[in-house]
Amino acid sequence: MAERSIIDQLDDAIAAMAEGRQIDLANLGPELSALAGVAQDLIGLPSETFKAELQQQLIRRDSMSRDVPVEDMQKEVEKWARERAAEHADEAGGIKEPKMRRENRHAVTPYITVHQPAELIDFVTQSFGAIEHFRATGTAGGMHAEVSIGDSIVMIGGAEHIEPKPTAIHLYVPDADQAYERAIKAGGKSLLPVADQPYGERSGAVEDVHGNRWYIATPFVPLREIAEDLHTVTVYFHPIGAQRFIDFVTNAFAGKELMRHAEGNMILHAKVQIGY
Amino acid sequence: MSQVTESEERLLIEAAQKDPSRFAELYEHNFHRVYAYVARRVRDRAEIQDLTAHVFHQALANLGKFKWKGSPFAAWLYRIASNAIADQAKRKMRESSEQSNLLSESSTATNLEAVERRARIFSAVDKLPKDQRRVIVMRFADEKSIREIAVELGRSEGAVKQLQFRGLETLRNRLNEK
Repeated sequence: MAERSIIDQLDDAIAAMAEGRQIDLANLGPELSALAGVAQDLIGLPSETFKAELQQQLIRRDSMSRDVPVEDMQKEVEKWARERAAEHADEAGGIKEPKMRRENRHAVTPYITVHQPAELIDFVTQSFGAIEHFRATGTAGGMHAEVSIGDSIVMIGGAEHIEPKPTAIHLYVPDADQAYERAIKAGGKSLLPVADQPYGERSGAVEDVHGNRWYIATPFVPLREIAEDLHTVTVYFHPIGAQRFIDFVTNAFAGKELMRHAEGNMILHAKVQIGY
Repeated sequence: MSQVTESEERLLIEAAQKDPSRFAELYEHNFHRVYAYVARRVRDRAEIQDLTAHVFHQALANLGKFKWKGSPFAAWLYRIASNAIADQAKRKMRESSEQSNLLSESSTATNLEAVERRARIFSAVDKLPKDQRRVIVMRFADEKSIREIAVELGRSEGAVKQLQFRGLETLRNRLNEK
């Protein structure tokens, strides 16, 4: 049998190291031993994504007070969502490019109805880097608009004569401090200042002038820590009688309960997935 | 990990203490050191990342308290890392009877020379020729097999192994230059 080349022998050694097997470098000969020694030090080489994301996190902590143009924020939010989706797709062995803009509809899309929808569009643009894709007025005089935030669509509609239906949204953003600060500047009322939470998010909450609640969050550690079952935008319900509501969405829409946190009979927080 | 003189490092620290946005420069100079230090004592990649992130968040939060006493900034970071690793080990022992994932090297015995060498190798990867760098990053950071890399880059497995070999050769030569 022909002797394996030094290139193949080196790869054999690397494969063994990657599996956690001990290699006796002294048995490899001087040239191979030196290269395998370098390879041994490279096992566990930090991921470039991790290094860059951590740097961004550290910079963000300081940059929240700076005024960033809306256009820059829109680009940042989209880029972040794209990277996040690509990372998850990689892990799942799936597609690399997420569907963006109007294509990025999930099974659940929030529809927020307010008296002044144009004002709300302005608020989400200024605060969260939303991008408007569609706006029209229906025959009954109500507006219908669609904006994207990161990987998700939010529908916004209403008119003075239409009853508002405020809701609550959980929002993943690249920089919770910055988004919170901008939401306050855009007229939002603080419900909860941004702080590190024990469940791995840095988050705060704001209520806009129309009564919608925005839970704004950024995970501590990039990508790995992001709840993979949440899109950029997730609807957050506050029903009275949460069990009945969970029963309804699971029975009516084949929802799947992913977790719940309860004290006695009181459900404090639960996650139900409907489709993708 | 670019090399800075003691006085340059002192200036960087003072600048970051006055303006935390300058912390990015300290981060750039020390990221691979901290990562290599943690990786010397922790096996799991996710834990290494968590601990590295913790060290830099702590360092940024406490930078104002740092007082220059002549020892390198990295020594301060290593101390934060060492404490974080010890805290994690204690927490794990309390929470679980499972064997700790920490390697046996004690905090006092951590071989800083080996840490510095490893950090230099990590940093040298950034300066490799593009083809070699891609293969080294995919193989060692992304933990892909030769076959996966070959498919992704549209090259033969032999060509990928060759680039891996050349990349390691370049790294060894650069290490020997220092």
